Amino acid sequence: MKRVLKHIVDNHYKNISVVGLSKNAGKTVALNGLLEYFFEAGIRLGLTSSGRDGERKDVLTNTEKPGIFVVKGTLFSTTDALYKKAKYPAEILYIGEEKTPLGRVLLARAMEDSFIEIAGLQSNSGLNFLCDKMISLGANYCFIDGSINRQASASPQISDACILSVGAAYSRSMDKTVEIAAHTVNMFRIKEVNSEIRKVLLPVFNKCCFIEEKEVKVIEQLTALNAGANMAKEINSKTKYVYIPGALVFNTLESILKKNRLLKQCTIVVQDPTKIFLTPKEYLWVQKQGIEIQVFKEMKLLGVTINPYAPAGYFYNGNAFMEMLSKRISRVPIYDIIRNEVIVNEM
Amino acid sequence: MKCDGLRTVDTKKMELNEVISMLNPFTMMGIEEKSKMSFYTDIEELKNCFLELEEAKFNYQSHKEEVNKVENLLAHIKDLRYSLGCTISGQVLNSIELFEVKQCGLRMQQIKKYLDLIRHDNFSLEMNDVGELIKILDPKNEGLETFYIYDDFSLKLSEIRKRKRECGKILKLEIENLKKQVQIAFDVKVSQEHFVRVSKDQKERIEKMNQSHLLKYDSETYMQIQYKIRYNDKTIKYLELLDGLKENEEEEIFQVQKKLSQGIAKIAPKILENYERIAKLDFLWAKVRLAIKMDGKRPEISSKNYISIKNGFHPIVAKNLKETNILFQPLSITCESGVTCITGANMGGKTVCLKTTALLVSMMHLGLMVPCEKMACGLFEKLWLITGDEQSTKKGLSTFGSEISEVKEAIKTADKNTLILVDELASGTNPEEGQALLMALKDYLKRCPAISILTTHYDGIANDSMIKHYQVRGLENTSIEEVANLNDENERLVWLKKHMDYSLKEVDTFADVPKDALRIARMMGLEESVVKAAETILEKK
Repeated sequence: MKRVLKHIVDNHYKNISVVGLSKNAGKTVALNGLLEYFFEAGIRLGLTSSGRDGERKDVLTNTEKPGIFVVKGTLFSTTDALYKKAKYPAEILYIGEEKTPLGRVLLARAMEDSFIEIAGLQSNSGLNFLCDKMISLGANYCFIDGSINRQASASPQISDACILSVGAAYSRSMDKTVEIAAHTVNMFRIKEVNSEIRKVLLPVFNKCCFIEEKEVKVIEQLTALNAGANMAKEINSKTKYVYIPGALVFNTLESILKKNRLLKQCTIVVQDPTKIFLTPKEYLWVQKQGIEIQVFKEMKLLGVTINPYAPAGYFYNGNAFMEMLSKRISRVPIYDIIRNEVIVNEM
Repeated sequence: MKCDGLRTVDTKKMELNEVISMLNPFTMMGIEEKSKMSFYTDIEELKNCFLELEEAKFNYQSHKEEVNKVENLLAHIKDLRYSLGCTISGQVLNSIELFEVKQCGLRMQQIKKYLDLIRHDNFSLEMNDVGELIKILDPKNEGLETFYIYDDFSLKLSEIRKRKRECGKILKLEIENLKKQVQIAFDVKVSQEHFVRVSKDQKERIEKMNQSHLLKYDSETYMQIQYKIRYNDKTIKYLELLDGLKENEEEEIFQVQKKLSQGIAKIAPKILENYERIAKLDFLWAKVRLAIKMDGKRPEISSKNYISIKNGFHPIVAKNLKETNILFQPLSITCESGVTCITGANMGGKTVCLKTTALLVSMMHLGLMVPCEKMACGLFEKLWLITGDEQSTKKGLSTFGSEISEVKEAIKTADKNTLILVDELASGTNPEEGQALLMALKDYLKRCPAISILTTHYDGIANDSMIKHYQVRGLENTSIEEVANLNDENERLVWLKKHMDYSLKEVDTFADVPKDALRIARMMGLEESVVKAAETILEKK
């Protein structure tokens, strides 16, 4: 994990998110493992979550969970309801009007080394606000614990870099888990569109548009879901890029292709990898059709962590799991934090 | 403000509710104050209210910077009246509540600072000084909006914490030592929670661990065994000591919270008074913002039974017209006891005249600046705006039925405190009977002390020397040729709206009611043969 720390510091990443492939994927263990190095180096951190984290017992599955351990001076977001119950001493810095299911959001500073429970806002703008606020209150880096299989908080619109946690909880079949993990990593690595196109897209960030050699056509529609037929009309032999601001789903691509084969020569641009909702099979089909997908802002994947245990009671062989993952995922370190092992496939 | 003021049939018809919804205070307290708003009944109180509003408006516009700052702070003042009440009744506030009270105190001081910079002549905008509160909650005088039961609050607490820290330090060293021993002995990593996990296939290591005095068995899964560090006597002693200290700390924190709450209770009345002042100020400024937005003027409150409006306008209708690029024609009207009749063309805005009058009169009674150039008006107790455009489906009445039931109530007490506005009575029934009914109503009302305004396009109603007669200018200065080349009906409608002069002119009581219906029908492009035939029928009569 030291390598990740160096990476973060060297690249001046400010907000780092930890996201899980599923619930109980080992995000908190990954977070703790990473935090340890930061605390050792005396770096002041801010922690937030897109849900609730650090509780000792999972309220959904009633299983035991690790707590989040922080040193004195660490900033974190929680809620007034959780703060009232808290056993740790912490100074209140800010109470917001923003309501969560657990009460109003609250920023605090740990007054002692202790296990804490964090909670935060769900929306992108809410998380952004909390991170900015913590940075302004003195945190050097912010970590976002993305709750329940939500990868949205990894969105480059919020965080500069992310860590993906893969756990056996995803499926009883290790093959399936490895496949989806490799696919997710592939998605996270989709390339950024060139800077010229980015310049063109910036003013129309929330609108669907078609870029020809010299012309940009913008169409007013709120979402690309079920809008395939409308979009097919706009594509002609000169169209180079198709920009879809919302979610990219298979249905849209399929219905465009049914009406207009010219899509095959276009590059599809989406805001960021978290906006792509394609299964591994669907993505393969898209690639076979010759359609390229690029993103407006790319994601920096710092590492993958594994958890071979599932709260449902089954588990994988840790060594085999790591080995299999490393065969499918290259150039990204894969960590087993509990056993303190790391593999990097440099191929 | 008293609750039994002007009674009006329906604030919806004149769109008073829309105007009231444009009053937007920032705080909960201001919103509460707004909900208490009612019609004034006392002339002196109302006059005073307008003087205060006018002074506030002047100050608001001349101290933009300070006002802006105060408004920003107001938006962030939380309603802590409940917490403050708790302290007065002897309850103890928790840290979150204390944080909020501190924050609120700091913000109130800021508001006070800026309000003191605003000059005020007759009406005070001052706030109580709550510096004592800050002193209690901010022992280090940092001025920061953060809160924690700091060591500075109690010597005992700081001592407990000091001992806790020392104890923690020793414990940490001791545990680090144990961890190191485990690491050296078994070459494994010890987690933050002092666990060691070993894979079951490492049989030798497990054997060693089972026999070691450093570790004790904790739990296992199919693949791993989890051990926990075995604490030595010294560690256990310090852990127990730490637990005791934690208990002491918790108790002392409660004592501090109690002391702080008692301190707050002493100043609470002052803070609560500030909340009342904030409520008043916030609502007052909301009224000022509304007045500025619609260019409202202070009306002159007359002790006589009298209404005079110069260039008044209906803000909601005007806003809607503006969206279609049409200017609202301002309304000027003067009425006294007895009947005033407004006649004029169809589409001439007679209804809008009545609605505007009703709205402006109601706004004045609420103590709001009125959108006009000048207005003078007496105080009323009842206002009836009777328009046939709404059927009272609830009661199962038709347009005519609901009109009559309202008129019945209205004329029961047509005394000098009543304003009756009737729009085209009985226009839905047959013209002969309708005309007769309206004529009779006019004759009845002209002897009553109430102010009544009737609109109609029936002949002969206004021909009465005892009443005042206004006419809507309508399409006075236009001719049919101008629209002849417009084919699109929409264009024609826009043209009509643009050229329709809604303003009123006072005319001789015996002036004819303008006959514009056929002309308008023609301008709107109704089949020429139909219009022609209608003209022939009229001529024959």
